[in-house]
Amino acid sequence: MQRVLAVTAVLVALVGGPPASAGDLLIPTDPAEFRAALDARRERVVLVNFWATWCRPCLKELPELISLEKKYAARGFELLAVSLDDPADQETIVRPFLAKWFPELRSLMRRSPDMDSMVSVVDAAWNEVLPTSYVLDNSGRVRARLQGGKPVGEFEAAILPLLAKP
Amino acid sequence: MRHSLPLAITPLVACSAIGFMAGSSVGLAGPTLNFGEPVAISAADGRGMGPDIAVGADGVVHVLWIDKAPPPAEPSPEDVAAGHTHTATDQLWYRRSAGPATTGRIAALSSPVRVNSRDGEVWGFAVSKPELDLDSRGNVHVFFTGNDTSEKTGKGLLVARYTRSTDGGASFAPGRTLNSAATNDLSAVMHGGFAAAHAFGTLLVDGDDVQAFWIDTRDMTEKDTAGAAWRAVSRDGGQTFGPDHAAYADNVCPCCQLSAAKSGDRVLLSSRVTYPGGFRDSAVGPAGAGSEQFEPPVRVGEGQWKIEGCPLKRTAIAAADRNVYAAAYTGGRDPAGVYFSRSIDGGRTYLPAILMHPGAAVSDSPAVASAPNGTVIVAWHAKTDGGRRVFLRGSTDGGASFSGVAELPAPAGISAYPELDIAPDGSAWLAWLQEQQVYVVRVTVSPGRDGSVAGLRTP
Repeated sequence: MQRVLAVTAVLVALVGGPPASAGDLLIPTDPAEFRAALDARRERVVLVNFWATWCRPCLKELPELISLEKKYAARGFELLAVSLDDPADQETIVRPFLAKWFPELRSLMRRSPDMDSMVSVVDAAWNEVLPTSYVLDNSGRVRARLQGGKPVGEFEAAILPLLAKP
Repeated sequence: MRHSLPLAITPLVACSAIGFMAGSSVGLAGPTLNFGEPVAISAADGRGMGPDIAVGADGVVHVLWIDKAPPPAEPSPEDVAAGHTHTATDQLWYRRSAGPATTGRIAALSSPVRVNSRDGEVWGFAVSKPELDLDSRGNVHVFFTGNDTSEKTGKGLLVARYTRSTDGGASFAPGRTLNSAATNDLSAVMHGGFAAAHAFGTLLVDGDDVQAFWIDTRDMTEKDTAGAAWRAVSRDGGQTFGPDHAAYADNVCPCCQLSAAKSGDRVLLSSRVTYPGGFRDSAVGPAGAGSEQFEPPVRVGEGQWKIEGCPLKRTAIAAADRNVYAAAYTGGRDPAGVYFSRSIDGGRTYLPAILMHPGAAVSDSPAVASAPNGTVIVAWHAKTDGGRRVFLRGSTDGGASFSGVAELPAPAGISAYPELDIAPDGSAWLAWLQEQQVYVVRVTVSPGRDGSVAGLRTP
């Protein structure tokens, strides 16, 4: 029952629902819940962005990815950020960090001790490098992997062919 | 007490004569890897990570690891004031075999000993791990990254910490900081608001020389985020250290842990260097005996990995006489994965690199150990048809050829982040992370039945 509630909470928090409060900015998630969050996004083009507070290139690209989501949201595009920070840092580092630097961003955060268990949901052969992003088409299939700090144009080029016409 | 393992330990599995998993090139005549009994080192209810292992001249096996316990519900006001809110639960632990471990079985282990003397002192994780080394008197030397607070700015720092045990691992001295104070303030751009970092280090002990190395951000700016390799040296067995100084400052990747080895009278220090074009490739810098300055690092393995990110990838090195062995992940070759390179001229040049695990979906986090008799063992974690498992290859001819790929006979689940050291008898001891528990096992490599070798031949 607890698991059902947890999955429901993730889905409610990430699929529309009431406006985010400070407490909603960060949503602890296990791999099954992450899988469910992706399944709930079928019919949309999703950019899954794995990031961490300790990854400077991640933090450099996040503002542009947030802008990208705003730019193409009406065409069915969504950014799904996933923090791979250590679960022990959830309340002391990650939540205050988000509130201070990225108050517009709602992000999942791994609850499992192993980073790879989260990324493996979309890529079984992840090489443990951050930042790593995956473009999923509206059937949930991974269409592109972008790794390392990339210019926003590369993200745009990867998602545009998959979006609905304006 | 969290660490409550009984002194009498229970072996899990008796294993030997591992089957090979590589392709058809692996022949029965090739070297064979044999495994002893995997032994749990850290507590089953803990959250172990980042193990390191060293075997003394007396055959005693020493293991060091981090235990990252769940955080307290609320950090204490004292911890908040000291900037230690996020690390107060990291502890550094140490155990050793009760005597020489010369067979495939450790009969007994010491009780776990906490290495750090105060809570909140330790900062580390699987790929920024503490390191230990031993001297000939049985003293245990430890390098770890620690938390501190800048007297100047009041902001958090990551500092290069050292401690030692002079009573055979029964207790450790209070840690001391080896780096001099940095004056720059990177708190606006660095994780956790740290003003400076002196982290991702390693340790090399040789006689009375204790050399500690770390990656230093004191010359880093918002625009130029390269680090530098720094060093502090003790000539009296770790009792005192001289002033720290740059070993080399050539665009060192700030998050790829260093590794050190000795080849003859030369000290070798590996890092990743960002080369023109943005290629972040493995490099090994040599220094002559007593030299304060390293020579320019030699690029190793033709990785050609262009990455503007956080690789968190160490280049593992080992040396025996004039042979130097390096193993590292690269994403710049097809296929990506762990590649092995060797030098036969003391690290001045390296032969072309070879892929260690053909067919793996991904391979990463290598460790390498070598002995003067030509034994070379490389371990890494990889995925073949499921989660990560530890794999190995062994050589009896100085890395000229290798056995096929053998999977470590570990318990079910995820096995990852291997570390290796060679024992005086030429066997190797492997430490790794099994789910959230640290294990060790003895590994031996024997030549093929007819004296020939099969499997992977290196250039």
